[in-house]
Amino acid sequence: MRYLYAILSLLITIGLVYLLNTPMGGVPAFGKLLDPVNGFWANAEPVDKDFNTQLNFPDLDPSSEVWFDDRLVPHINAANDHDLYFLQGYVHAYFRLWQMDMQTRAAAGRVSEVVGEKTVAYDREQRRKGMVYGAERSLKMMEEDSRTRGALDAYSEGVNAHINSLNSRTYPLEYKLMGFKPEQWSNINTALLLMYMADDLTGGVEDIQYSKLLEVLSKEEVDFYFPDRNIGSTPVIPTGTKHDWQAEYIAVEYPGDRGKKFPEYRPPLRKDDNSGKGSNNWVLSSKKTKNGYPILCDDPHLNLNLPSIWYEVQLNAPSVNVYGVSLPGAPGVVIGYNEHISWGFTNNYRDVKDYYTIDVVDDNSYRFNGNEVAFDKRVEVIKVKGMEDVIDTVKYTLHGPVIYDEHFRKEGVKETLAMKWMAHKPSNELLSLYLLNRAADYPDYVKAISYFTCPAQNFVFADTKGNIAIWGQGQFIDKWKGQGKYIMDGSDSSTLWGHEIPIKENPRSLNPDQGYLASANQTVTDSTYPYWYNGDFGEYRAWRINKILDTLNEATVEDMFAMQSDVYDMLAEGVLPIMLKNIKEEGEYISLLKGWNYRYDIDDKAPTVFRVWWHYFYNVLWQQTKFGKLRGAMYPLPERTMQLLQVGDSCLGDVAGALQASYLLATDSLNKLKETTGFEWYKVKNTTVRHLARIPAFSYSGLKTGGWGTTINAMKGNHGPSWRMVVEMKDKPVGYGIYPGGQSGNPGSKYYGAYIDKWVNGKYNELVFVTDSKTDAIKYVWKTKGAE
Amino acid sequence: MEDKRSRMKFLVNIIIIALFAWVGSYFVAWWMVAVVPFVATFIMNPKPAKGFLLGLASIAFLWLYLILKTDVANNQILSGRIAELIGLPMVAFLIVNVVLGALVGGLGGWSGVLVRKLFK
Repeated sequence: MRYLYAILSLLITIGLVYLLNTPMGGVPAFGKLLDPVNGFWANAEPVDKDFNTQLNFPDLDPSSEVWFDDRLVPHINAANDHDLYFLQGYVHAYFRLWQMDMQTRAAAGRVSEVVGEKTVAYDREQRRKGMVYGAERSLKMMEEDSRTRGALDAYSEGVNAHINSLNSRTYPLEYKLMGFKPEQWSNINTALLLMYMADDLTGGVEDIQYSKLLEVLSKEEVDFYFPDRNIGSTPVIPTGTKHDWQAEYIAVEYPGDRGKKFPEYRPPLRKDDNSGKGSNNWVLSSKKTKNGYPILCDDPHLNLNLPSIWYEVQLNAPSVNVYGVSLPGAPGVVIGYNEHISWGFTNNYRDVKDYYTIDVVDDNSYRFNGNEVAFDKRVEVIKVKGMEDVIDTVKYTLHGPVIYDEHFRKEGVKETLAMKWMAHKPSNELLSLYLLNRAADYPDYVKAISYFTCPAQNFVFADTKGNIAIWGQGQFIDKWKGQGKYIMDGSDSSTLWGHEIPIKENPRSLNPDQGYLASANQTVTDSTYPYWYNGDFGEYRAWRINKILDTLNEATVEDMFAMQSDVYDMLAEGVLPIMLKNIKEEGEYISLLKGWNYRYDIDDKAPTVFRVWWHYFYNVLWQQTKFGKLRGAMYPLPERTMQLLQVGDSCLGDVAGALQASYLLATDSLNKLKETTGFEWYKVKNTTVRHLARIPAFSYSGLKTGGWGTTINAMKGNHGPSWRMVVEMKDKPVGYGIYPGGQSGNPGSKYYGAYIDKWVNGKYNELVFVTDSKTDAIKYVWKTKGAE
Repeated sequence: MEDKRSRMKFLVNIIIIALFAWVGSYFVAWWMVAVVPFVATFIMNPKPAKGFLLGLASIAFLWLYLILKTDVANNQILSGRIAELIGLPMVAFLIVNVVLGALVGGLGGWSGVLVRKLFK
């Protein structure tokens, strides 16, 4: 009997401990997690935590220190570049390690390793895009340059110094929830992170959708509905800018058939609210500002995630003194300013990704120019949590990797497609940032950005001497007209990419007469730019920005703050009068719209009515035209739709009928909304800053924001201004900035979502260059060994 | 008199077990909150029910103390998020958290006594 009791008690005890120590199907091990010594409680940071400490690393010069201000922004003061990037790596890892790890995994297609089966398809697509392949090629270049090699090595050293100081108690919270451990950091991770950005910003697959449209439209019609350069654009490079150089190459017209037909492709419906993926930047010359200094503004729009993609930092060493936001995972400052210049980005959106059909002979070769060419195979092993490895062989052609084939299909694509992508070209964007951080004038800036290959960006520039500039910078190809608009025949050498356009022939403007420069992902140039290109451009925000800046004089930084929060919609201004004129309905919704000022204000109900009605109208309208014959066709942009409505083009068919039908659909949806969420704009939109693991308890939702993708304040559901920056280029530049997050990535820290309220309300933090740890601004100091 | 002394002794034992469980958790793992009461009652050899109570009380005391201390210092930022994640109201979550530890400690203390009885 004694034995029975003893064994029974042991079984119960050990059984319970085992259950509580084992994660089960996505549920973490509760014993481990709830343990107040090592579990999540260890990540509950005291709100008055004293961050002062001493770092003992023999490689560091004793005078190198990190000073934190009251917002926990590190001001890294290093004796040399090595210490600077070591400490930046250390600080990034200290506050953002899990995020760095996950973003790298997401880039490399290694998410399943920690998440399990449900992300295998995602991982495979990443591998098939050649993400690791591209990162490896670029890393080689980065490591061939002693400057970027030095920065990368020191950075990785710093990240690892922090990782090695951790144990299962001190791991970031998400590791405990997901049940994995950080691994050693290496330089390839930084290269992967840069690939991740390139993918995010040049990832579109419109070639496939255009090809599909050829089933119902002629090429001339495609050009009519989808002009390469949007009609009526206020381009990035102001209209009339002289391209005062002799173009080195201009491609000849391609004689063959430009596009192939894809009867099997069923692309997903392109939602009109796709518009507004992008960013804004602009710069005013000294003659447009009240204080007589240039003002530079930038607000890149990205997915709104926590921990934020950005991390504020000041980097100060003998060779550099720069302030701005960095990407956790990469050394240097990405967007910011130093004592001489400031700079910012918007995505350029010229098409640098094309698809080719592959004429497959067998598993080992394909046909090209009549010859058989062997695939270059790369075996991808995808580790999957709780399962056997998934093995995928990616075949590389002379165009690039085969992304879709019989082993891995995109919905509806039956062809074997290879991808030619500028992001696969070895490049050293890190050197661009390294040099920008140190640039003192316009020539330095031009030199710096010349290394920026992909993703192409509109780089806006201002300096303390009063110069302003913008470049549509990236590596581009001299394409024949229409090249890469449709899927191309990959068995024919005449479709290959031609020469690379020399950087000096990229579009740009320096100190234009109009006194300002602005970009918001719109068409890059007017038609006088000699090279042909197309891209995924949108005009609404650019129209609004140009309209304001045209007449704005004596501008102040407060005017710029207001502009970055501007919610006036040029789409509504353009289409709503036409919609109202052609509808015979009356009632609450119509009177809301009649009284509307086209602003997406937070509590206003009219924007909801407009968005819902426009959504149905846009879809019903195109559905009744030729586009309706093609299930799930891509429709012309809202910009083009608006223009065709304004001239009453007959191609649109029965506009009044579409309005009537869509109004009924809209009324139905709106009535339902009214009963459920309510239809104040912010409630319907539900702006959410979401934790990267999509944990609602770590996210902020229902934020009271106005705006939409077509307004300057491009605040959407989970996408919007990821960093707002305004810099007045005084003799000592003064910067203001805000991002939707906080300096700490730890959901248990008071710094985790510290800026969100301010960001929602359009407020800014003043960014301070600190040169002395004794100032009041500094709250905590990290000394290094040997420092007093 | 006798009663008071034995109550004192019980309290001291609780504190000793709690301390060892804390150190054990810190250097080994959380399940030391089962092992330490097990070893303690194995040595002390109380009645089974008292062994259970000893383990239960010491770990309840330890976890409650640590949780309250951490939670107050943290202004309940993280406990609020974890409670939401698990889907419990805040107070219920804290109670469940302490009870979980206490239960493991109690079972450890109970089995320590019963195993000891094998070596009579």
